[in-house]
Amino acid sequence: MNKKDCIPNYILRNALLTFIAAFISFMISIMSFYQCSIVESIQHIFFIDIYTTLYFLLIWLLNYMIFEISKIIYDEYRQILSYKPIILFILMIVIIYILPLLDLFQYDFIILCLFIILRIIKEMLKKTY
Amino acid sequence: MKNEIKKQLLLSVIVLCVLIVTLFIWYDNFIFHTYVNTNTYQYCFKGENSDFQINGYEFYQVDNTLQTGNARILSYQSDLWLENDIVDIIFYVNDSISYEDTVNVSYDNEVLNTSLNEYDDIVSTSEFDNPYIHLSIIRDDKNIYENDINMTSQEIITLTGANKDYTINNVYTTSSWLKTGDFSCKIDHLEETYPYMSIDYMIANEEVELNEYERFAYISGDTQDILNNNEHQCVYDDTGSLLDKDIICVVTLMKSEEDNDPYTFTITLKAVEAYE
Repeated sequence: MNKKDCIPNYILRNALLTFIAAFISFMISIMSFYQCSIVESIQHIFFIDIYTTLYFLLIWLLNYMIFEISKIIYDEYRQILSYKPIILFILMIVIIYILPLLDLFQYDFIILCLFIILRIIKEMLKKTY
Repeated sequence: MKNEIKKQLLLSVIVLCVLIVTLFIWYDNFIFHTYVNTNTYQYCFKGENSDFQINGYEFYQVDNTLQTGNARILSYQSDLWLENDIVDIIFYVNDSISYEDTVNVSYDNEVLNTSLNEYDDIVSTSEFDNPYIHLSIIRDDKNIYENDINMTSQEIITLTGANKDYTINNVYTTSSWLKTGDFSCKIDHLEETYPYMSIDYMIANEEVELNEYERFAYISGDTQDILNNNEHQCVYDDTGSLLDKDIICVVTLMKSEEDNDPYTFTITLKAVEAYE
């Protein structure tokens, strides 16, 4: 399989990962605010208010773009960067945790940073073996 | 860096910037519509025997206090209570917790409403153990009637509705009872522009015509009072079909009490979650 054949798979994988980040963060945030179950939080995200649903979709798209940009930059400068971005993203996780942001954004960016770190580790392992 | 990748990166950054700006602009709207304050502690009890029916006996939480009562008592027998009788109602949550209320009858066979009382201790859900009401009727200092009636917690559906700037939430309904909700808006100083307002709760009347609504409950008064959520009303539907019907709210904002050109819009209510 050449690289071009893999592109739809990459897009699907990235879309799924970023969806998971947005979904989990919305779910935790709504569950803790309303003290409700998972099913009720899903209902809140998708069926109650169009503004919540649209914002969820925008956050998902934002996650996707951030993930994509990190991927492009890392793939381009892989040799120079190596493990250094991992330190940067761990530092970012700490900063996001400290900043007085809405809990939704904190969960989302932390999960997203973890996914980006995992991808970098995967790329580093791929290079090693 | 290859030209193709440069273009890809540039495009991604532009889309990212557009997204961030959009998220920033929509932030207030999102918060207003997503993190709506809800009152999760709300119970409504109903019970009946061959003599009378008690419906809408509420238990709900306001800050750290318990508000209870506000029930309607209907007599099925004529002359069960007469003018100047005293009806004594004791709600037993369990063997050790009870709440008492008395109602003076103003005229024969009156539909009675118990008062809404405030207590410091909240009753937790697990404390409701075969709740019942002990009702007694006192006439000329003599107890002429006494009976216990089992009270059952009704399935409550919470309704909410919103448009871009206004929301109505915490509308509670069982099959035969509806409590009007809280009105909020994200426009600053709405009460200065529109000092008076009314909210009509309209219910779909399928018998008349499709999409035909009739007024079911009505809240009216100072915008400031309604925004502070001081105005609630409980209404009853004895056909017991409230849960199957569509409910819409017609909100009318007025610059004066007799504004001939008020600002009117509708908000459709949708079910959020159910409490038992």
